[in-house]
Amino acid sequence: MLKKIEFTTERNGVTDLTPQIRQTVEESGIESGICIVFITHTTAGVTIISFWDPLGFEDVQDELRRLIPTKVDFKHQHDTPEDAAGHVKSVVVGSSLSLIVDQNKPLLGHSQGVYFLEFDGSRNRECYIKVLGG
Amino acid sequence: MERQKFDNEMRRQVRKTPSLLRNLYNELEPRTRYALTTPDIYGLKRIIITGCGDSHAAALTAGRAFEHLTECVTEVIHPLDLARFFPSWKTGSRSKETLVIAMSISGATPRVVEAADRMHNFGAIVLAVTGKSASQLAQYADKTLQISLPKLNPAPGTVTYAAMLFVCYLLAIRFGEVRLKYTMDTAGMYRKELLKLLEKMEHVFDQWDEAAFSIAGQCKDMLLGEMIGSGYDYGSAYYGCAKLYEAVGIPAMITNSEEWFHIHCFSKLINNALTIVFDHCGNESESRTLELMERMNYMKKEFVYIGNGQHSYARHSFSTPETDYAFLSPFIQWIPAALTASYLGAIRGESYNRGFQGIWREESKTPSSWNSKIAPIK
Repeated sequence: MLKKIEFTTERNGVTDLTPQIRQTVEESGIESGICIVFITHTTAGVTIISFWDPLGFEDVQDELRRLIPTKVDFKHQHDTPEDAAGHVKSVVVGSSLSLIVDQNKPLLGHSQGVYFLEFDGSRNRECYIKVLGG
Repeated sequence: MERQKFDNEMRRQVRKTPSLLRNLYNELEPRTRYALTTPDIYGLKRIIITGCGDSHAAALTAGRAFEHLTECVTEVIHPLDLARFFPSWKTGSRSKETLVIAMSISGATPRVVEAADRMHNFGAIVLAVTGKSASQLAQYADKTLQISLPKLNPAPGTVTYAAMLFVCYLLAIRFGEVRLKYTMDTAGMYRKELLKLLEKMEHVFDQWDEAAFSIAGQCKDMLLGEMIGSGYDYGSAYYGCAKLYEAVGIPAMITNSEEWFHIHCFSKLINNALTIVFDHCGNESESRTLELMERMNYMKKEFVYIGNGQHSYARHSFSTPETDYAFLSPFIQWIPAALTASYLGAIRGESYNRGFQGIWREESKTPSSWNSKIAPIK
């Protein structure tokens, strides 16, 4: 089963994908297997973060910006400095995740959520969720 | 009168402009991306746009769009002022904090070349926008953005003006995008809107062509032209003024809606002038333009309106298509003015630029727009 979800992000925003992932796994009817979450973008990332304190999202974005600041002398100048920094952040964070499916649910810890990190934006974005049994 | 009988090269060039610009887009857009480096764009404190004739008109039209999109101080300075009167201290204490966009399709306009040389020596970044990458202007410039226009038959400039304006808008959109004044998606929408406006130009052409012919027939005995535009629309008025000289040979004046009240209002030639008011919705001086039209109506003065605002007093009007972005509205205003001038010239039996014959002949010993000594001020 492959599902595409579409959403609009805010600049440097963090979007919760967990509900759609849980729903897609449930709809697949697969009891045991793998769920792959993949985003088709190069200035965004997908990762697992603790959802208890929303300020933690800001910490993640703040620290990524500190590590990879938006500077004007990136070699990639076809687009904007923010876009160039976004490409590097995307490489660091990654654009896909694999989750174990167990008892028709994605196996996530009690504080884990799957989040889309926007490194540019605001933009119209998409994410694919594939569930495989086995 | 039969319209076809007065078909002319200038009109034909107006007609083909949208398709020419559309064909140019795919090579021009990437060139505007690489015209300046990102550090150069971030280092700018001031943008100066300069050019003569139609290029000056394009600069006047696009100047405010630059300021609006880049939030960088932008000035349109005539090459004579830049070449002869501009002091070095105005370029700032640090080199490369001033950008001069020097526009000349031939790349050989003496005053533009002179201004480029002077400003380069003052430490400004000079970006030449020209049809010839090996031109004298390109040699004096730090960077060159070439516009590859096809060879056209001699006629008052239409494609050249629109191409310069097109490039200016693309550069302004690019600079604003890189300076993160808006997102890349928004920049993409601005570019798409420019292309949409080209389609709209084609869509309204036949209707405007017929109206321009009708107005030219009714105004064929006019003694002079009077072009009024404020802010973003001033450049369109300047362009319209130039076309009356070139295509028709009658003198024309240019002003804005405020100065008209102070000076032009007192003319005795109430209905001997072809008066055109340029305006668009969202122009900050719209209220003064409305007062101007009200006053003209009171004086029983007839005028032509080009724009997409209110114009109930106009004898004739060209309704320009709506756009989501007011700063792009002037991109289309030049067409009715060019068509009207082209028909007016044809009906009056005029040769463009008086055929460059007789006292208008341009030869090597006669000073002219292209024949002028380059005299750099030390």
